[in-house]
Amino acid sequence: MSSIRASDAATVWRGLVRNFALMIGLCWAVTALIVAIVVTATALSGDVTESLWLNTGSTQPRYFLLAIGVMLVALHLPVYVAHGTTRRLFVLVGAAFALAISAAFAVGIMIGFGLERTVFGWLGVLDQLIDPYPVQSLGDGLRGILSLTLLSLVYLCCGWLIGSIYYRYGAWTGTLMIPVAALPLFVTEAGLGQKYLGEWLAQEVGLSGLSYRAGLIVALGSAAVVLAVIYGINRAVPIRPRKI
Amino acid sequence: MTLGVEARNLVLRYGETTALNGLSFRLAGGKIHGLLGRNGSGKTSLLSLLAAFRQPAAGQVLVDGEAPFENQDVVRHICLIREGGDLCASERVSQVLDFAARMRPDWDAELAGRLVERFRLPIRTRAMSLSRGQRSALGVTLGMASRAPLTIFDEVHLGMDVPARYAFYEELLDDYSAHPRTFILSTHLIEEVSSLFEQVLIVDRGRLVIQATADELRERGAAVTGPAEVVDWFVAGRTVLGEQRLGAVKAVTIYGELDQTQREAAAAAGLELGPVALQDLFVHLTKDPEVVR
Repeated sequence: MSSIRASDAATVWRGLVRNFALMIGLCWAVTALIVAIVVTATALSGDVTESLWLNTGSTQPRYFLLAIGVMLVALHLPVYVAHGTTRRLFVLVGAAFALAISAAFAVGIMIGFGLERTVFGWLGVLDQLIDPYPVQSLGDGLRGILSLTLLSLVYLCCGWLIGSIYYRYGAWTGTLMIPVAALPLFVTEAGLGQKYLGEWLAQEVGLSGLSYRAGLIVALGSAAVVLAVIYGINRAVPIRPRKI
Repeated sequence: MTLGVEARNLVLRYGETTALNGLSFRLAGGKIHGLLGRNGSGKTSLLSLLAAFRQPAAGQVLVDGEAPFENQDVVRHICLIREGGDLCASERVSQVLDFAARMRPDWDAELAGRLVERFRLPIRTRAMSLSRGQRSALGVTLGMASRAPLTIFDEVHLGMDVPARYAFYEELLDDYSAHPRTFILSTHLIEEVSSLFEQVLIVDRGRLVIQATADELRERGAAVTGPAEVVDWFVAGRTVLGEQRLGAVKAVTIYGELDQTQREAAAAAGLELGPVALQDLFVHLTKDPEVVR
């Protein structure tokens, strides 16, 4: 097994950034559109009782990350291998790329909270909220970035795992294995006390009282396990002829 | 830089089917090799192993003395172009070429641009919207401009029309002369491409049938032309690969080398001897697995 050159890794990195730049831009454009519609509707109704960003902008980007993960193998692995990249290099750089865009998404989500809190402050509606605003301080924001980074990473990696199983083992096995491949995602949501299925799961299995630090460990462990399985599935996967 | 290739007892299976069954050969670097075989003979499987798209079930592939599978130092110098194309179908031709330019260490952008013009590729069109012939031309452009020391074309030119195919052959020869490297061409269009080959490898049912230089192969038989009755006399007892008749003149292709005495006898009888067509030999050699080679 040859060592990995920084220049090769950088080439794959730049390729992935270019591959997904448009999709990531589209994700945030759609998010902005949804939030704009919800904010306008809420403003017209005159009732602001909770964070609008919490229920719109902060949750749906993770599903884009799931989709990016699915596409990593089915669309991109064969192309990279055909252009002289090893599977190992692709998975390693792909993992770093996944971590980076997860962190970027987490920062983006937290910036959304910051903007919304500022606007709520200007409008004087912070006191009308049923629950306290989700992000109260810079410390809350930093903690939120860390937990959202890991949650986003697990989402992306679960998509990547689902795509890997489909690519290697075919549609039947891929479909049957979706619940198993998605399990780490729900465990992470539960550990971090995040919406949606995770909240329910946390109550069912007794994870709802988990500390922030324990939640991070659960998320980190999930990401590590999923990445290890992804590597195991992809390290010798045959690149079959494709039809376009 | 050119890369030699060696296969040692290669075995590849798809479930119950054995695609390659103990295949061994050695290809010298810096030559154009032709890989011939019938449908399902194992050509594409073999090329997939050489390019590290797959791992053999048994045996070993060596490219420049190293196993290519998951070997970044080797695979970066190998370019396998398959008929389906391994590219992002939703991307425009220009994006596909940009991507290859970033990934391929020896990419020649000028050559790519010239081939795009020569093949009249619409660079703003998405790859999925290209015709079959255009997709083939895009594959040829990617393979040629990669300047990979080991460049492999697997039936890539089948979808191209005749002028485009001849343009491909011309470009390949020109570029090979200017930048020698190892080419492997797998094809069914044997007669059309045979003049390019320096070495020929014929596989059948996952096994090596024959490996020889193109000239050696052509000397394994002869096209005998002359008066029908004289030709019949001369070829009696020999393996006949094919025959054609026009009036009293007959042309028969035979298998088996002719020594100097036999050649002189043919000339004395008023017969003309020519090289055997590679395609005729191919048909003969892949017809009967027990044929004496």
